[in-house]
Amino acid sequence: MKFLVFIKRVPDTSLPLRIKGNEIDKEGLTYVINPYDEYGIEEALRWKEKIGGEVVAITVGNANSKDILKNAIAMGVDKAVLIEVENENISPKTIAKLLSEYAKRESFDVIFAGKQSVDKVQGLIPVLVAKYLNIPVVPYIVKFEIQDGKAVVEREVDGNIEKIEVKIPAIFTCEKGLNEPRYPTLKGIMKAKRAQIPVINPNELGVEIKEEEIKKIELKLPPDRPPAKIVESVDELIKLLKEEAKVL
Amino acid sequence: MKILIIGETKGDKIRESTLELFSLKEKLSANVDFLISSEDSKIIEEISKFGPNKIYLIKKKNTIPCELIGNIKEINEKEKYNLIVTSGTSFGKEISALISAFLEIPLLQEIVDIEKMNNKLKVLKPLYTNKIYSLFEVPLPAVLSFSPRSLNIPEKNEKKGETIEEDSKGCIFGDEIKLIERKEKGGEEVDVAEADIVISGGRGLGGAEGFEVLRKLAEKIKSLGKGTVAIGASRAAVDAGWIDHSHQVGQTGKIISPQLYIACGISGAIQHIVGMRNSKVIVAINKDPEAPIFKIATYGIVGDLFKIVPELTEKL
Repeated sequence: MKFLVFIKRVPDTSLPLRIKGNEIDKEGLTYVINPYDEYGIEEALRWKEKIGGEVVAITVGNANSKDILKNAIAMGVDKAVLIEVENENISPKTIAKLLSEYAKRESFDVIFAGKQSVDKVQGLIPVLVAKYLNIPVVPYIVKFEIQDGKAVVEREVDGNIEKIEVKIPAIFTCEKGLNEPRYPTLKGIMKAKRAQIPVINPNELGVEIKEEEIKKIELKLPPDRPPAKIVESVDELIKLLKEEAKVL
Repeated sequence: MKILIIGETKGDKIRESTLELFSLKEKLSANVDFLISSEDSKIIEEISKFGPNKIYLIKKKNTIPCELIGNIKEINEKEKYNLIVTSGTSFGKEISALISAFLEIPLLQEIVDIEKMNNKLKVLKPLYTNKIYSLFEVPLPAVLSFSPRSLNIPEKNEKKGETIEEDSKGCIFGDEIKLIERKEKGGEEVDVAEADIVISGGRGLGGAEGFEVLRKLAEKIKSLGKGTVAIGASRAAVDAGWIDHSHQVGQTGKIISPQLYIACGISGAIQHIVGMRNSKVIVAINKDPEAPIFKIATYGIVGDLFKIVPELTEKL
């Protein structure tokens, strides 16, 4: 069974972020695989170990994205591919078309992606790819099984647990809780160091690069909060909640 | 401005985060239509009080978002909406992405504010797990999802809308996708992202039984009738297996903005703070006076949560 995993290079948001002009300050940033995409890598690797096959990770980005593709190889994927674009402001449709054209060429059985990226928080790319490939997409999965050419998945949405059956090929987006992504092994890291990353040019895929339609006007930091009032007793706290904050 | 609101139900009621979207009617001086999927036509009685012109009722139980896209596409071809809006719930975000893909209009998810200036729409959206906010100019038509509680439920009036009933046109991906079962997760009635008041626990609870102390406080606060109450948790408590991930607040959990957030035994790592910093009032209860949670709290109380929380429960 062939698994394809969409991954994205994002700043590590557990570290401080600063603003420079209309962008985040790139100086001193550490980049990681988008955390939700790691669940996709892990799930594909587990199923390959169980039933055999191949796991390919792919990203659309500039040459710097090779670092996260090497991280994916260190985790255990068989192949990690870069569709190289210089422009950082390309439209979601362009990204999805690039990924779809690649997926068409290689015909995959299962595609995993993160439920959203932490930098854009949209969750749009997998849905667009589903449209372009004319295959179903099931977002937010927390459980994945393959049974007789079908996937049976569970997802937790808005206080409900849903069990969904879907024919493959299909796309699934991964939510926290699906699995616990593995750390790279020493052997994996050595393999990643030696690995060559295949680079594909958008022309080869016949996709025209278009820019994002939505204009970013300004970035801001969230407002600061005034310092806390430290209270000495529960009675005082209740008084403040009732009389000052008027929330209880 | 012509807006279509896509609604959601919870049990046999309309979700509060759906009602919040009706505030856009006044905010953007817009004409509003409404679409929801339900088997039960009674559901729309409540909605008509918020003044929609047309109410599209897609008669189906247990709908998944792909089953509404065919209907929305057809309705939009007739009505040509400037804006389609949903809540930033899982359902809302999924259907927004599908609408963006199949109606070929731009999408912005998890909006927290919107403003109309000279016939242009400006929206505010948190990025990088809520660490940075970005102001966007939205080209119209577009589809937007709004984070629950970022808008206020408007006043009702008595204007009645016209109701149009339709059957679902089936999943846009064909019948290869089937919902086999949907069951309520049980336990909590209100999602942590939608609650007015959230009582949250972290490593300081010491175990799953620690949450019982918080649940007692939640019951008490609920009985005061000041709004809906939910239990939240830090990543430490979720990863330790003390409580389910659906309660997690923060970077890999939910980003919330309740009226009142009570953090019990949560030190306040940045990954947690990004998820709850927008709460109106934050109470921190922690035995470590140096805990970073006190830096962003409105009120702090230093001490043993196992003494303070029961005392609070008793005295409220």
